Amino acid sequence: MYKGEEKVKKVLLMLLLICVIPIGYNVVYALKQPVTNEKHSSEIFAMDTIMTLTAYGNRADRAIELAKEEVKRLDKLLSSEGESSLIALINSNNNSNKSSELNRDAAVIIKKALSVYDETRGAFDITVYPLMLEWGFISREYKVPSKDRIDELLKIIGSDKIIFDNEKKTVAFKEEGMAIDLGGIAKGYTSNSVIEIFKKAGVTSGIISLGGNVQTLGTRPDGSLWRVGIQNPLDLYGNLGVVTTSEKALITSGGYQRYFEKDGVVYHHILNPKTGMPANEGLISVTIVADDGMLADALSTSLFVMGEEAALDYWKNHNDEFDAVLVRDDGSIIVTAGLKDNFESEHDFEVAYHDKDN
Amino acid sequence: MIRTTRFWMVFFAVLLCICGGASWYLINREPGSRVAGIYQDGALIRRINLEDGQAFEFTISKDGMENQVCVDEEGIRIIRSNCPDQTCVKHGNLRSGAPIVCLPHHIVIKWENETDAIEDIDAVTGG
Amino acid sequence: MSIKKLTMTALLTAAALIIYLIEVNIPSLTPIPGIKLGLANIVSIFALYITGPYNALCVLLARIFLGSIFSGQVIAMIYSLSGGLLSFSIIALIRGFFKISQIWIVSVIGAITHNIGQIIAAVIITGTPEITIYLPVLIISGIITGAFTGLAAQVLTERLIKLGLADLYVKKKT
Repeated sequence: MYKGEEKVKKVLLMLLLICVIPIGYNVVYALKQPVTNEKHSSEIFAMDTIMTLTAYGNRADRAIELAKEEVKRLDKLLSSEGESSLIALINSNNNSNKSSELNRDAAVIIKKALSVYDETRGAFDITVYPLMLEWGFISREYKVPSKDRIDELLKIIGSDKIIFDNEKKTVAFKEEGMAIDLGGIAKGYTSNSVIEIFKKAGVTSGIISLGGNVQTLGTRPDGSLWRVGIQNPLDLYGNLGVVTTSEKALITSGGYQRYFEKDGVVYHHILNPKTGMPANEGLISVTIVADDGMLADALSTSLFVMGEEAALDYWKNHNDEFDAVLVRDDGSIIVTAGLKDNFESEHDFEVAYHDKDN
Repeated sequence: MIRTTRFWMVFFAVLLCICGGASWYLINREPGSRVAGIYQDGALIRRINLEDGQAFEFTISKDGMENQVCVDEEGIRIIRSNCPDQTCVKHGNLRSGAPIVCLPHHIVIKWENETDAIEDIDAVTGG
Repeated sequence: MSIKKLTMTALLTAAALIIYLIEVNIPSLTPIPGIKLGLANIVSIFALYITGPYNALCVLLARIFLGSIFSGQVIAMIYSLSGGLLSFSIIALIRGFFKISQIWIVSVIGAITHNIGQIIAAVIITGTPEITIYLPVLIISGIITGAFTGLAAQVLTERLIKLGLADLYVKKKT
């Protein structure tokens, strides 16, 4: 045996205490997680579809409640029908040159819609509502309009026929019978708003799906990227791939979402504003990934109408604003370069590059 | 008895053999999965299915700590890193059992369970 | 503390630091994280036997802190501390069990526990328990390098005591 056992115990104690420091530091470092990681999720039915709002942390419940209020408010305001609908009001006020007042939300949306109309050279157009009505896509009483009827309606279609005053926040129509529908952009505006509400409420991690329009806040609570599947148009229960992302909106447009068949021909709801017919440019689905929900929403329809070549051209000139996943009629997939490292799929896919630095 | 030198020599020799056997077994186990997961600070950064047959490279960059990962038909490996010890680069392709570790950058690349990978979706965009 | 002891401690710290810094610049032999020669531990063990646990602890801590800073690998400090302190506390406890001719055994035990400490730290920091797969390999490495540095420390200690240049540390009864 050796001398000084009490001293040994003192040494032991001291050393154990000192050991605690680095090990304790390790533990604290590893536990640097947000306050709580509880998942809170809620569903509501609005804008003609089911919406799922998911947020994490101890602020989540409150944030989701606030968001639901806002969604209900926007639903009433922006839908094309209904008592409190501002849009319905505007549309009924269609004596040419009589202007209607817009509230802040509608003004922002219409301004963006007109801007996208310009940028896409008419591929995105909120004035197609009369045509949508004629085809029966609103009432679900589908019919194929005659060419004459379509031509007649085309005369009052075209966002260039909208008189929009951003200062006074008013809108007026140049032709009688014009009507607008914000269906192609309102959900994007709404998802933007929900994310803002989440942020202001102190949520740092959340993901929402407004009937298939997905937008994310931050990352998953553990820091990893969100994994968002892209629905397979040819197999609605499957995904044709997964996009890994953070802080982005992911919105898809596709003919397969709403269509009817007559005499063996399929007619879908994404009309080409210039021809009045369902767009038929060789794509069955377009998914846009962008920071701005409104842009993603509007561009998903636009690029679908444009077709592959024009869509990729457009992307090349705007590749810092968004990325896209295009699916052709034959099921083949094209992914724009910005998503190259963030798209996973069991299928092969092509990557489209812009020539600037690659 | 514990205090004799001989005891300890035998003890270490036995320990050496056991660990030798254990490492051999562990490192040569079949991974059973072709999906690799890349983690930094314990969080999954990226999941890659090596069965896809795609070849690409990407760089993980955080606070100035950089690791360049290469995926091709040979497998997945770190080809370049600005970490001081370069162990991760020397590891080569991810084989069975042993994960690729970049300790200074808190990065681990390891095989995943197949089921985790496939069902792990947060939302679906579409109609 | 006597001036002689203070000076001795300072010299040992310097020696450990220098050995460490030289070793850091030798490129790693294997792709396995955490395998190293640990030559600076020769000094740590020598210090433990000749100057006692408190001084040896100072030498160890100083070497870890300054070594990490000077070599520019501050991230390594957490791992070194975890491994180093776990190992040191165990060694300091058991050193009385063994004779001077068994110092190498103490060193091997120290090396093994050092590596265990490092793996624990790595698992906690990276959050991936899979790293424990490396434990057996690190134990093997610990046995081998521990024996090597232990023998060196042992020979050093034995010779210096024999030459009368140093005395084995003995705790004074208070």
